[in-house]
Amino acid sequence: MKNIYCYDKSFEGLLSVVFDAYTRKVFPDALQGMCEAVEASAPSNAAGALPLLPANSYQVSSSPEKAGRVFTALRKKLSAAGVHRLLAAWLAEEPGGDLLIFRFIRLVLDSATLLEANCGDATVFELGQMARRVNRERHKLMGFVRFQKTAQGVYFSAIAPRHNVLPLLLNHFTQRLADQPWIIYDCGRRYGMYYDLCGVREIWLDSPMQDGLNWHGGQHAPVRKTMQAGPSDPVLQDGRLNESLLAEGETLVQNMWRGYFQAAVIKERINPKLQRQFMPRHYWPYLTELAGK
Amino acid sequence: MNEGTLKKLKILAESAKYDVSCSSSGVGRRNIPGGIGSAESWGCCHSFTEDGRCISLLKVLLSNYCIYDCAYCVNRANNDIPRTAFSVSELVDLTIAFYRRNYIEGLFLSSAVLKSPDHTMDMMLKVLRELRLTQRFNGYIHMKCIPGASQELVRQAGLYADRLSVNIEIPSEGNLKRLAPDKDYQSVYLPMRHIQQGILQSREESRRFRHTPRFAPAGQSTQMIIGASPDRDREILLLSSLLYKGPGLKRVYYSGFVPVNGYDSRLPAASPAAFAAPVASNTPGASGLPGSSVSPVQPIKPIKLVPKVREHRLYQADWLMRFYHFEAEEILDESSPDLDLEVDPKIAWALRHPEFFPLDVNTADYAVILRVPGIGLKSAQRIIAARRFRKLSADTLRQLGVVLSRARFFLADSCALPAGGAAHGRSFTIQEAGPAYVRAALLDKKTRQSRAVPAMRQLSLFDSIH
Repeated sequence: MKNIYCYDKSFEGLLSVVFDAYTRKVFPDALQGMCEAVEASAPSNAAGALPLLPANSYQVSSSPEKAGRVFTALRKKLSAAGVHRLLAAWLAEEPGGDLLIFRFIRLVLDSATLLEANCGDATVFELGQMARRVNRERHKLMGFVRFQKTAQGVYFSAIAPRHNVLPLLLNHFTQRLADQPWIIYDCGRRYGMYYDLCGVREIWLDSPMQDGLNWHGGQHAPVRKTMQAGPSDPVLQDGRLNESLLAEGETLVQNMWRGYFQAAVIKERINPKLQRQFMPRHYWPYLTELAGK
Repeated sequence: MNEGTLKKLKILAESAKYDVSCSSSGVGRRNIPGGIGSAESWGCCHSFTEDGRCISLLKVLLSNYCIYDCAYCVNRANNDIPRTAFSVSELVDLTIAFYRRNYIEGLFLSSAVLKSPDHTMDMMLKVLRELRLTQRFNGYIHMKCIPGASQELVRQAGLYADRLSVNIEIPSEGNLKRLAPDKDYQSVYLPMRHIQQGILQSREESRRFRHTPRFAPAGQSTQMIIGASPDRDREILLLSSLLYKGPGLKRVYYSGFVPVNGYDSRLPAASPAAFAAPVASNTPGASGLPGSSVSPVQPIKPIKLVPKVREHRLYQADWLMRFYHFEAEEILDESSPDLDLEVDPKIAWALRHPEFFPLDVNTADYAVILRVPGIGLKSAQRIIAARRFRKLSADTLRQLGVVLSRARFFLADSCALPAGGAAHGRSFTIQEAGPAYVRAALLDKKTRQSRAVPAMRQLSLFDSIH
C-alpha cells in the first residue's frame, strides 16, 4: 500500500513531514495538501490523486520545533549555497516539487559526505534544475519590476511571476531603493511586500480603494492568503493602478518612458521574435512600456 | 520636467540609439547610507525593444548640436534634423525619476561635439558630478569620451563613471579621415591611453593603500562601425586583438552600419561598387573547398544594410579571441580576408585544419578541447572535471552539454560513440570524409535546402534540353 502524508503545503510543514517520517520510519510515496474532503473520507481511501488504490494516509501537523530541528540538520550537511538552492527550489511551486524536495532532503540526511556536488544523481540534478529556473526568473524580475508612484508617495509595483520569486527580490530592492517606500505585489499569489524605510513586511491589499491604496498586514495581522483585489479588480487594471491613485506628474514620467522605449528602436532591424525570446509575453501586462499591447 | 523634456528625450534618444554598447556589468557596488542605487556585477537588462536589443541604461546624448561632419553619423552638422540639448538638471532629474521606477540600471551618457571636445566633456562631467555628489547616485554610469579630450577631463570622468569608452568607429585610419575629416587616430588613441593609465594607476594604488578612489572600475570599451568603409574582416579582427592586448579593453563592439545618410557619396550605400569585393569572396565558390555542392556566384546587388550575419560572425570571432585562446591570425589568414558567412568561425577554422582532428576528449588538453566545434567553455570545463571520475562516452558528453551533431565529426571513436559501442550511430570523422563533406553536413537547414538538387520529375515535351 502507498503511504501518503498530508500537510499544510508550507515549508515548515514539509520539514515536519521529514521529522515525522523519520520518527515513524515510514516514508511517503506521495505528499498531499490538507483538505477537508480528505479528512472526511475513509483513511484507507484518502489519496485524492489515486482514488482507486488503497493507501495509508497520515496527517502531519506542522510544528516550528520539528521543522527547526530538521533545518538545523540540513544546515550542517549542506553548504550555504546548497541551503539557498533548496529554498529556491521550494519557491518554484511546481507540481510534484515537494516530493522531489523531500527525496532530496532524505538523500542529504542519509549521506555521510557532501552530497550536493553529485550531479550524476537524478534527484540532485532535478532539484538543481528547479532552483535554476527560479533564480533565472528572479534575475529577470530584477529588471522587469516597474514602480508607479502613488499619491501617498509609495512606489507600487505589480508582478505575476511563474515562480514565487518575490521573497528573493527583497534584498536587492531594499538595498537599491533604500530611501523610498515601496510595495511589490504578486497579483497571482495575492500578497505583497511593503518596505517602509525601516524594514519589509508582508501585506495584503484591501479593496475597494477609492481614497488611496489601502493595505493591512505586518507581523500581527491575521494571516489570510486569499484576497479580494486582483488583476481583474478595478483598482488594479491589468496590474496597473488606476490613474486617480497616481501621484502628480507620474503620467508624464510614464509617457517619457514609453516615448524613450519607442525612440530606441532601430526600424531597419525589427525582430519581434527576439524581443519575445528575451521578454516573454506573460510579463507584458505588468510593464509600463508594453501594457495593453 | 515637462512636455518639452519629453520631446527632447525622444530626439536625443533617437540620436543615441546607433551606439550598440549597453552592458551594465563589470562592477558590483552596494548602496551608501542616504544614497540611491547599487550596481550588480553581472548586469541587468530592464527591457527589450522591438528590434530585440536590450535596454539596460538610459542611453541619450547630452546634445545633438554637432560641429563635425562625419559621413556615417546621423547627427553630422550637415543633416537637417531637429537639434536640442538637455540642461544638466533636466537630465539628472530624468535619470533619477527613471531609476526610482526601476526602468533603468543607470545612465549611458554620450554627446555630439559642441564647440570643442573639451567643452563637451566639461558639460558631460557636470551631469556626472551632479548625479554622484549631489544626488548620491550609486547606479551604473557609462560615459563616452569625446575624441580629442584632454587628459585632465578624462581623469575626472574616470572618477565618476563606471565605464569609459572612446569610439574608433572606422577600422582603418585612412578611411576614418575620408569619412570623418575632423577626426584622426591620434585623437582616439590618446584618450584611450589616458583611460588605461588611470585604470593601471588606480589598480596599483589599491594594492598599496587601504582606500583609494576607483578609476572606471568596469574598464573601457570601444565600437567599430561595420560596413561603412570597405575594410575587410581580417583588418577589423587584427585591430580588435591589438586593442585587447594593448590598451586592455574589456569589449570591442561591432555595429552593423545602418545607412542613415544614404545620399553621401563617400558611403558604400550610395556607391555599391565599394562592396563588390568582400561580397564576392564570401560566396562559397571562393572559399576554396572543392567538391562542396556549390551554386553559381549570385550577381552582386547593392547592399543597403550590412548583413546581420556578418556582424554576428564578427562577434563570434571576438569571443574566440577572448575566451577560446584563438589568435586573430588563426581565425583569418591572408588567403581568406573575410569571415565565412555560412559557417561560424570556429567551424571554419576546424575545416581548414583537418590534421588537428579527430581527438579524444578523455586525454586532450583543455586548450585543445576548446577548439572542437560543438564544445563550449562550460562543457569543456565540465569535461575536464568529469573525466577524473569516469571515461566519457557520447551519452555522457551529451549530458555535459556538448552539441554532438557538430562535435561528432571531430571526435575520436572512443568518445563519440554511445557507451555500448553501437556502430550504427557512428558518423565519419573529418579525416575520413574530408572537409567538404563535413562542411555540407554542418550548414544550417535553410542553406542546405536552398543548395539541394531539385527533385527529379517527368520530362515535359516543352522542356529545353541542353
